[in-house]
Formats: sequence, structure tokens, C-alpha cells
Amino acid sequence: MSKLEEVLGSENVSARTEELLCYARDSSIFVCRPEVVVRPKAAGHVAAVMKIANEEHIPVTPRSGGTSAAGSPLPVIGGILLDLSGMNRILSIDLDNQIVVTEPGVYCDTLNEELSKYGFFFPPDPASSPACTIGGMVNTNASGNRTIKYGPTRDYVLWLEVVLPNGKIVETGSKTLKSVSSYDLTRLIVGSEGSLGVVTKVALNIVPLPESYSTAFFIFDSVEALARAALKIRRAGMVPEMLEFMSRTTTKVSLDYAGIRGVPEGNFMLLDFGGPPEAVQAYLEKGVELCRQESPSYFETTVDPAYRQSLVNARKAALPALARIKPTTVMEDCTVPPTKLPESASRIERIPEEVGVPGFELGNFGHIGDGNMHPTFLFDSRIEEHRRAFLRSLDILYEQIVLPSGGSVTGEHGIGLIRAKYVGIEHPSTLTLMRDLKKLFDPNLILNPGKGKGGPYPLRAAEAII
Amino acid sequence: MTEKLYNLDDYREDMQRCMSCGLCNPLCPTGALCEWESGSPRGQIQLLKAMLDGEVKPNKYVASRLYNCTLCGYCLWRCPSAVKTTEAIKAGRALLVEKGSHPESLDELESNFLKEKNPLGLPQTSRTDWTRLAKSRIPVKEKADVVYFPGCFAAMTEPGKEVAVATASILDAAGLDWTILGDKEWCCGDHLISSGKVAHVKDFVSHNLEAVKNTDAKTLVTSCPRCYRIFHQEYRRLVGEVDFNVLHITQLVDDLISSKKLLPSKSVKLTAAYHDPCELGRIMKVFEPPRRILKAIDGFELKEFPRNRNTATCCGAGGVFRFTDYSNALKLGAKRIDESIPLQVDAIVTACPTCKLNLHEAASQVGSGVKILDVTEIVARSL
Repeated sequence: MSKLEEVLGSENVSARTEELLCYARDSSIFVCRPEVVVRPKAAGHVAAVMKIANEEHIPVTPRSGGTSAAGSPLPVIGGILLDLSGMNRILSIDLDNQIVVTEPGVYCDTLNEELSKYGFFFPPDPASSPACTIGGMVNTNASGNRTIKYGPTRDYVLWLEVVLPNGKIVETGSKTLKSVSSYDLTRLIVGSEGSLGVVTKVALNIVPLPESYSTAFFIFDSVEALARAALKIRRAGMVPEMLEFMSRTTTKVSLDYAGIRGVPEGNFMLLDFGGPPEAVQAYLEKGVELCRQESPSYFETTVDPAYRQSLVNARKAALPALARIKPTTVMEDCTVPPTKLPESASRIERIPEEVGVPGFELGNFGHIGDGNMHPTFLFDSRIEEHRRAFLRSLDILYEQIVLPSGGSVTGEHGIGLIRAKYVGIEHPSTLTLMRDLKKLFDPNLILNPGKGKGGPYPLRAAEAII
Repeated sequence: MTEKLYNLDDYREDMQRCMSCGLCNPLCPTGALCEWESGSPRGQIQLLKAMLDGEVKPNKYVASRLYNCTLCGYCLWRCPSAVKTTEAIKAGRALLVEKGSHPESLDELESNFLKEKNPLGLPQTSRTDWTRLAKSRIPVKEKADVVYFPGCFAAMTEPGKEVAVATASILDAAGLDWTILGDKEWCCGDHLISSGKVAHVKDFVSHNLEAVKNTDAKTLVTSCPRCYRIFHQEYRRLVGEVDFNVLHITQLVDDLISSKKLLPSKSVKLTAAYHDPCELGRIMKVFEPPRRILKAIDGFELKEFPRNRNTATCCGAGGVFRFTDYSNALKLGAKRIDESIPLQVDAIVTACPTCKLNLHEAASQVGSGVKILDVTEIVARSL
């Protein structure tokens, strides 16, 4: 404590129970309390903390927005919680080179609000964009509603400033838009869930905002029909701005939250095109024609920006809106090849029936356009039978549905604690290599232990916490 | 009765449901004042839960976090999970008071209530001082159709008195049969509820209801969004149905103008931004009446803050924040004033005497020349 206070000032270090318990949560089901929380304001502070921790073999868990749904920023074995939310400056906006440089604690929406003044944006669009931060997005390779068109965060990260576990500050990549003069360490850090280094500065490529949008939504009686409609859009070679879905249960609560009334119950699909007005209108007409071949029970089109925003808000609120239904809400994050969507989505819907525990329910939603679904389990974690049903559901989801169909256990949220168990099953041939890589960066295994791809994974510990 | 209504245990399921998604954090006005997670709505929920579960005892540190909130309702509106954060915070404050861990300034607030029937500590006999500023005689009748209930901040603060005077001229111009309660008006009780000093709330509720009932009024109209909400929500929770209609003055004036009973005929040359009071707008959803009124006035140019209606920034005066953290209350007021600078307005117009007071004091402190006015003052100038 005294060494940390010396580096950061006592006002930026706390071991009070009242603070520790507030940092013990993210949006996952886990509760893991740190032993001390520190609030660095600069890369130098982070480096000093890492040096102390490395010398004394103290675990360090980085966090900024704390919105992870996987437990990634939770200190599973205690130690130091590195709260980076105070490093929240947009350092430069270079419109000529289309590069923005930020600190890790900048909210995604704050950045885009600023960029919109110049007609630009940073495209990855997680549903948590109001509250998630650039640091978290880099560390999870976050994506979202617009990934189908623009790709995930990694496609925009040009270079990084990173503090290594031994306290050394390094810069990856190049200041140019193109460079192959080094191993692609930038992409190695992106998505590493804070397990290899602490990101303290991020340079992002930005792109112009679309000129206009044209939007439709559909209600389908079955998720299979909805998934088939989404496939038709892909097969036609169309590239929507968004191609999103919500299952029946999710649709009801999300539309209610967004104040959208008069829509019949069913499975919801959002189809949105961005670009010049004439082009997006033509794309939408074609998209509607294709979707109608799957007999939606209802559909609407709109070019009204306010109504479009309400529809996007509804979709973005899906996860927390589901929390209205049951005391405990846990979201998963699987991807399957798009061709497997109809079958997988339908099978996922039947998990609660298969588990057969009264009161254990499911809502699904996600980025149907790129095969990324978020089955969300709704239950009461205070009931032992429900906790067991949840763990069994995870096994069914990943081991019986996702992995056999050639899918991945996480599309955009990361392994965290919740999916650590499945990394070796999905990646048997590279698991050792990933662990060796982790040891190369972090020989004392102090940085965000138990998370990411490099283990070691406290598998039983994670289950016990639940 | 009060124990049952302000019991933290009633919000146990809300706290369980909160999945810490953090959507409430970024625009929370007071969260930005405290760099620690415990000062954010998401953190406050964790503290409340820990208090309820006995993980932490009510103490001054917890109080410093739970009173770091203006009860502006942003978190309440933003939460897709329908977690009643501000209500839980009020219940948490009641528990802190019960255990003696509340800020000391609230003891003075309570003593003001008990002695002078208002949170400001001004003599109850001065409640009608504003009437001397009015151009015509202010009626204090035994019976009337309408009771005008200015609320403490309109009746007893200097910027507020201008609101009460303007309102009186509007009520006269509309030819209504109206009265004030005079010294029979007590504070609505909101500051007691917001502070957690809930022991005497029922006395204030009963007194005010009785006073209004004795006039046989069919309608109570108030200048104060807090009073408006309290009569609508808390009085109904405490005593069941309230047997008279409760309106905010902007709702009444909007009706009077649309039914041609009030004709704002004079031009009022002013460019101003409308500031939505949290209690009136985000919490009670009265967004359009004040805007319709202002748009009906010749010469008046209405501009909108980028953050308006549900996302309007709190002026800093909500809850008991002026009593527990006056300097930060003014800091938040200055922030709202800053938001008006790009709009190039002469004035900020609001519909709440407390917002007016706080913005007025913040403007003075930062040396801003922007005028702070109430919708009723604009209407009165147009008559």
C-alpha cells in the first residue's frame, strides 16, 4: 500500500471495503473482490504499479468501463485492481490522416459524439457503446451492430502504447496507415483481454459517417425463418449497415423499453442500410423483397432518423432489458458459420426445455448478419437448481451446439472467466503455444490471471464463484 | 407508515436485478464529481446492497457516496432493467439517518422543518412576503376553485418570488377563482423524503391535504415541480387518492392559452433556451406544455439545449444537494450554463423556482451574463 501511495498519491489508492465491493462486479455473474484499487492518471503511473506488482508477484487486473459480460476485469485471485477510467482524454483528432488518438478510459459514444462534429466515426458499435470504453474495446476486439459492414475493433487499431507486466512502456505498430516492418504485435494485443499488457494509448483509424440511412424491421413467427431471411440478404451480396435480431422474449421487453408500441409479438429483425439516399432506398427495397419471401408476420420501413434511432436503441438495450424478467441475467457470446444459423438458433431456443428446470428461461439476440448470437439465460442465481441448470446450459450451448457446427465460443466479448473452460476444446492444437506466449510476456503470470487465452484457468474456481 | 414506505429491503429485488451494465454511469451528473466507482449509480447500488446484506454498516463514508446524488432520475430513466435506483437511494438515506450516519447539515434542515415548516430556515411568517411585490391584491380566501401552492422556493427565495408574482398575474388575467393558503401552506415534504429524514413526513402531508380540502378547491396548481411530483406520487402512496386535481403551472397555462382563456398578446423579444427541470421533465414527463407556451409568444425565440427532455442535464439543485454539497451544486449549475454558450441565447428559461435559484447563483458565481427566467415570467410579460 505504501509503495502504491508513494507512486499515485494516497487519494488514488483505496483498500476500503466500500470501494473494493464496488469494483467486484462487472456485467457477468461473478463477484471477485480486489485487495486494493488504484487509479493511475498516466502511463508512467501504470508502469510504476506494474513494476511494484511484478517484483512482489501481486496479481493486477486492468479495468476501465467495467462493462464486460464475461468477467474479464474481475480480480479472480485478488490483488491490485487498476482502474483506468480516469485516463479518459481524447488526445488528438487528425482529420487529414483520419486518425484519432485516445486514452483507454474514453467512452465509445463520447468519442463518436466528438467525431460526429467533423462527419466521422469509429465504426465498431457495441450495444454497450454509451458505457464501454476504448480500452475495453481494444482488449476484447469488440464489435457490434455495424460489424457486418465495417468489421471489428482490430480493423481500426493502428498502433498502441502498452505497459508490459515488468513495467516497460512499449509502442506497437507504426504511425503510418500501412506498415509491415514488425510482427503484428498490435493485433496480438487487441483481443488479449488485458493478459499481455496494459493498453495506455490507442490510435484508431476513423471513417466518414454515412450520408443517410434506410431501415426496415420484420417480425417472424420462428427464428429459423428469420435466420433464413438473414442468409438471403448475405447470399444476395448485400452489405447492410446492420442486420440484427432479437428473439420473441427479448423483442417484447426491448421494444417496451424503447417506447415502441403496436408491434405484434414475435422474433424481430432489423435491416439497415447506410449510404447515399437513392442507393440505400434501392437496397432496402431489394432487402424487403428478399425477407418477405420468408413470410414475416409484420414489417415496417422508415427513413425517419428518430424512429430509426428508437429501433437501434431497442436492439442495443436487449441485454439489460432482459434483466426485467428474472433476478439473474447472464449473456453468452457464440458465433456459428452463417449457414448454420437457422439450425443453431432454433436449437438454442430449446435449451431451457432440454434442461427442464421450472423458472429457468432464455432470451436470444445478436448480430444475425455475421453469425454472432447472445443466448441469455434468465434465472435466479440464489436457487441452487438454477445455478446447476445454468452450468449445464453452457455445456449444451458450447459443446453440443456451437463447437460441433464449426463455431467459436466467443465472437466479441472474450473468454473472461465464464468461457475459460472451453478454450482448450476449441483450440486444442494452439493452447500450448498461447500459454507459452503468455509466459513470454508475463513470466510471473501477474497480469489479469485466469482470463484471456493464455491461462492458467481457475476453472473450478470460476464455477465455484457462480 | 413511513417505515414501510422508505424501507431499503423493498428494493432488494431491484438491486439483485441490476446487472451492472453501467448505462447509468456516463451521464450521471454527480458520478462525474466522484472519481471512484462508489460515487456512480452503479456503485451506489452495490453499496446499498452491501448495507442491506450487512457487508458494510451504515457509516459516514457510505453517506458521502449516497448523498452524492441530486436524485435527477437520469439513472431511473436510462435503466433498461427498470432498477429504481433513486428510490433505493432515498430508502438508503432513511437507513443512514436511522443509524445516525447522515450528513450533519441535514439536522439543521430537519430543525428548519419542525420550527418553520420549510427547508430554508426562513420564518414561516415570511411565506407570504412575496404577495407585497404583486401589482394586485393576492387572494387568501376560505373557499376557491383553485389553490395556488407556490412551494417554498417560489414563495421564499428572491428569484423565486418573481415566479410567484408572475403566476399571480396570470391567474388574475385568466379570471380564475383562486386563492393561496397563506401561512397554512407548509413545505410539501420532499426535502424530508429526499434527505432520509422521514419521521415527520406524514405530518406535513396531512396538514397540506387538510388545508387544501378546507377550501373545497377542485384544482391545486403549483410553481414547483417537486411539489407537483410529491402531490402526485408520494401523497398518493401515503394516503391513497388525493381528491383534487394537481397541475404544474405550465400545464394550466398551456390549457388556458389553447382554450383562448389567456391571450399572450404582447411581443417578448428574447432568445432563450428552455431548461427541463428534472422533476417536471424526466420524472413526470411534462415536456411539451412549457415549450408550447413559449412558442405561442410573439417575438420569443426558443432554442434547445443539445441535452434536452429525457437527457437534460441536472442544474445541480435536485434532492438535498444544495444542503449537503452547495459548492458542487453550483458547479453543476455552471456546467448547464456552459452548455448554453454555443446556443448564443440571452436567457435560460426554466419552469422550476429551485432550478432558477441555483442557475441564478451559479451564473453570478461564474460571471455569466445569461439571464435566468421562469416560463411564467415570459407569459406575464406578454399579457
